[in-house]
Amino acid sequence: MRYLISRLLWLPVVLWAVASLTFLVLRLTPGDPMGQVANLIVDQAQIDRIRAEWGLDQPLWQQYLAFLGNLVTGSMGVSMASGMPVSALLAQKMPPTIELALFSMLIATVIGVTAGVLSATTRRRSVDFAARGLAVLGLSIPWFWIAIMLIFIFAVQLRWFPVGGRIGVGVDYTTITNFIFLDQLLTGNWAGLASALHHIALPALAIGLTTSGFVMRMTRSSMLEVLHREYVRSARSRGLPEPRVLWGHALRNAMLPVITLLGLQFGALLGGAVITELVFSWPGMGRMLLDGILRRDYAVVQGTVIFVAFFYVTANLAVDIFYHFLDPRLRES
Amino acid sequence: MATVRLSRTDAGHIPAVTRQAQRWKTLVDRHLAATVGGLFLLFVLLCSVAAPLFSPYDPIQIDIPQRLQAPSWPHLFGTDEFGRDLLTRVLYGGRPVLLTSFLSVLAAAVAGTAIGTLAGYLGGQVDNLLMRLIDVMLSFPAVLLAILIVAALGTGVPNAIVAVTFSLVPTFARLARALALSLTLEQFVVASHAIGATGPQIIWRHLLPNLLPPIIVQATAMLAIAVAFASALSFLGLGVEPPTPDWGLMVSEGQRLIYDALWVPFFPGLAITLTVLAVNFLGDGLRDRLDPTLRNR
Amino acid sequence: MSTQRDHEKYLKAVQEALLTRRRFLQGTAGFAGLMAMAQLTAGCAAPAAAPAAVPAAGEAATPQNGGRLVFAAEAIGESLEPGLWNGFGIINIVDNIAGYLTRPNSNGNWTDPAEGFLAESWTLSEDGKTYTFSIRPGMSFHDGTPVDANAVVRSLTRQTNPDDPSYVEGLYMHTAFTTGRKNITAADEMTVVVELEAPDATYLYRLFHPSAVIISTKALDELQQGIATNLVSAGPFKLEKFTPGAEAQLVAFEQYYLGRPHLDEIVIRGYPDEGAMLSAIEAGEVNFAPYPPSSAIPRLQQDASKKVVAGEPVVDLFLACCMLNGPTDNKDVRKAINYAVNRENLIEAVLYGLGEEPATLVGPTELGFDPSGKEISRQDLAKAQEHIAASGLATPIPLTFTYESNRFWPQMAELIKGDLEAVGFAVTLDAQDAGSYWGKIFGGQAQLSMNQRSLWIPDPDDKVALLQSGGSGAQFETGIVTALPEYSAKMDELLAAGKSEQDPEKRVAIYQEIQAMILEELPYIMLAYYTKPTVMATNVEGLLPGAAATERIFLEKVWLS
Repeated sequence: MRYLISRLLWLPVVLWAVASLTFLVLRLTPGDPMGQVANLIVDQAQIDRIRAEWGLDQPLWQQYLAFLGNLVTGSMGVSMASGMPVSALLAQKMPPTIELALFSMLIATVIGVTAGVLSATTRRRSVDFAARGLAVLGLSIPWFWIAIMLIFIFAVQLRWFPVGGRIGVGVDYTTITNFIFLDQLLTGNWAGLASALHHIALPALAIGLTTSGFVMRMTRSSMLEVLHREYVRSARSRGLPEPRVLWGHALRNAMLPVITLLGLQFGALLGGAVITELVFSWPGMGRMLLDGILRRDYAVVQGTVIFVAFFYVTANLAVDIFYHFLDPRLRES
Repeated sequence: MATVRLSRTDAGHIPAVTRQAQRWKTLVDRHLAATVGGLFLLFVLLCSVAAPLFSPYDPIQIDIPQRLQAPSWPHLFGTDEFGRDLLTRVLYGGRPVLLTSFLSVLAAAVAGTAIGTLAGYLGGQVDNLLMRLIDVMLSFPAVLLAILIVAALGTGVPNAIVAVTFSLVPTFARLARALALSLTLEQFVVASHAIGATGPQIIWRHLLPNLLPPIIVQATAMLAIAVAFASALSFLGLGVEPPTPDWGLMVSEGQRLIYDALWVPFFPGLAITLTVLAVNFLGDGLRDRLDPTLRNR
Repeated sequence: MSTQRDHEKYLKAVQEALLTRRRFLQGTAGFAGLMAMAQLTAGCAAPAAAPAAVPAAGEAATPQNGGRLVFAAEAIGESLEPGLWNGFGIINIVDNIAGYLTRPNSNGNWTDPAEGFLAESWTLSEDGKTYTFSIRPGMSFHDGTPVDANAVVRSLTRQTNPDDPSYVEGLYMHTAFTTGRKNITAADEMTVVVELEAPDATYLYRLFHPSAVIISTKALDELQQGIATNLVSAGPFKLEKFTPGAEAQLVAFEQYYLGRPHLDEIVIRGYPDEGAMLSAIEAGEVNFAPYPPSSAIPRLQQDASKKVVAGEPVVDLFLACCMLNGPTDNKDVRKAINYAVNRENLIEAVLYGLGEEPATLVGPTELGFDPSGKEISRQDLAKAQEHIAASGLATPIPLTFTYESNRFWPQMAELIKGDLEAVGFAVTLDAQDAGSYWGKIFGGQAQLSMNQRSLWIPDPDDKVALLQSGGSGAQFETGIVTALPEYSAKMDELLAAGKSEQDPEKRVAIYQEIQAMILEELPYIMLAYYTKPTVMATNVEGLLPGAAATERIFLEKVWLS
């Protein structure tokens, strides 16, 4: 319990450190948001006015305090490139990213767990060999490469899937939550739902195939370990049918580390699918963050990083606590 | 060599007739992939180090009339937009990626193990502080942390190494900590404590030797990630500068030529895939050999 | 396949309706500006004629209404706020929603005199400083409210008025219509009076700069900063749905004063990745792509389902020499660089032939273009060697070359590096991301850098204004303000004179003097005039040449056959 409280107390400290580090690194990075303006022909008076309005003319520590002050009051600031509040931008960009992450996890789980269980339990070496080989292949193809190739083959040559975007051109749909699937369900728009599914398939596959390699290996090794455990042996000796032993007893226990892996992977995907988002014209957070960095849009980068960090730290914390209570030896230390 | 001895001892009490088959099978199962992977990796290393010996062409010299030639005998992989032999560029193009990934994995392994071991051994507030530091590093999305570092420091191999290292350190630190933590609870460490061994002695004599095998296994796994990561950075234009050949950069520049000259983005991408594949196979082999939890499955 | 020819056919019809002067102009480039200018002043002095509602191409097929254009834009920004620079994608959306006070000539010829849009006519005072605009009666905004003088004044002042509820903090704009403006008032419900500090020959053009959108007063009051996602104006299309950072859906505005546009709907989709855009073109997911990668053009021209329209060479690609730093502060070094670069090679290898060899900043379609500059902006290795020797620097001369690591810049840099090293430079390539690039330029830290300038408004001033002492080009990119104060002062004088001069002949003389000055000191070294190609499905008709040439892609006359 004390451990839990201490970890919870650390949470804001970690977030503060992330925020401060981001602030600092951004300010140390050459270039500033005025680069955007310098590109256009503006006079010095205008540049001074804009600098003043953004507070860029103040000493760094004052900017830092103002930033922390805003953060404490829950304001993530305004994008210097678009004049939009960062919170509004996040509300726009987070749903596509979360959807993509969820669908790719789904693909990774279905493929990875099936292949993992098959390869751990099969008596045929060739199946095991093939499954492991494919898993390694899956996690060896770089994301950008697989994305480009999927588009080349399935979107352009075969035209089975669209090249990019979240939903088809000309599909009528209403935006409520920005979660495009949820919105279609809420409005009962089945055509929209189908189109959205059609659009997410390739990008989700591009990420999912890679992730499935990791999931497969984790499932396999975890299954192998569990299969030697007492309760599996006893289930077998009690004469339970093999499928029930496998899918019921063994897999349920073997899934714990797999779920952990998926959880962490999900956290990583929130900010990490930059290239996939770029190649599939997917309007998500990764791309916003990349653009933000390239344009030195301080508020956008800070806001997004803090937001992603919050998810990540929380997920980590959950995993840690989970392990903590699982392994009594650790609890004492 | 050691691997062979291991399978022989394992096979000690098996009847002689099946022993031969068993040994062969074990070799295939456990070591063929690793051997092939290792050999291929060596081959890739050799190719990029000794690229000038393999190719009569210059990887940088522009020859516009020769541009975008389809693969043929004189140009097995075809030529690129500037008429350079693509095979030559693929040979040279491994250099920055391999350099970046090997060095950053090495640096990250050293730094991560140091942090993790200290945290795990000392425990308490030091542990808490170091791990929260790691949390901070982890909570930056890896690719974006790298982009930020490259934006701050500029492009080029040394900065790419820093960027990739930063994103790999947390994994090593967490692993080392977890291992150190469980090792400190082991009988022999507790016993050493009891007979008055000092902290550094315990770390040096007991923790590190036991940490090393899993760290090496992890390093191989991370090497695969580092290669992919380094090429992703150059794909985004944050690695080396043209005209230096580089796989990721070649894919990214060739991407818009995919419908005109598929070979331009295809071969460098294939090179990355095969290299990562080789590293992964090697890593698997090492894990089977070194990771005690998997050895006697 | 059918490339420019369709357009020429279309143009021909228009030309015959208007006069056959265009062909004459094309033949005599030196005279072109002069003649255009004569027309411009005619347009200024007298109330402008109502825009000839061009019966599009009398002899060609009759335009049909209906259909959807799917437009592959570059990245789409987050905000439609016209006062912000949010990339070309946003400009493409805004231009088709917007009602401006004036508009480019409806014959589609980009450099011809501006016509009235929301302004039906105007008069210019004797001293050339006061414009009186009469607002076109009976027009309405997309929300149904009438267009009046108050809306115009509000729209053209709110961007610099922090008290306006729609004002965005930290807003910057491309100031096209506020610079040199002393006062703007609504004289009555339908009359707007603009007083300028000095006569300005470019002013009517600047009123259709993308930042000068006239927005419904009701929308400004009710939506305030919300116009950033819901821009309500009076143009041919109205905004149906805007997904920031992704796409916009525009639909025909039935009450448009010239009658509804032909297309029912335009979907403008952002493709931040060149490869992804090309894939969308290949897969037929878009039927209009004005920013295709050059490398694909030769093949797309052979594609029976598509046509490629090459615009006019209006985009300047250039090197900038920063004189705040060595060795580019050395005039001989700049000249050596200039004579070292093989432009033909750049145009052929990187632009795939989509460009012309350059003179200097003022392009061939602009007023006062001086083709004699081509004699200087070309490769001449002997001269390059001479200047290297004359520079007094030991060879190889170390030189850092800074550029953005996107689009075709890296390939350009690679070729230029080769050229420079051949004459005695040791070039360090310095590829930067967009933010760092501008940071470096803005900090005056670069030596040689590389950039482009397109034509926002069809006046030579738009490009040469780079050299104006108040701007970042003169201060940081080239540093002429500090390094060559007298030169810079003289340049300022000429720029001001060029803008305020009403006599076209004198204007031509001034811009030619400016060009000679640029070629003398070479703060900017031209690489090429880039001809932006547009790829479209074969059934897309009616694109105006001005729209094909620049980033100002007005689609009201486009239709699908």
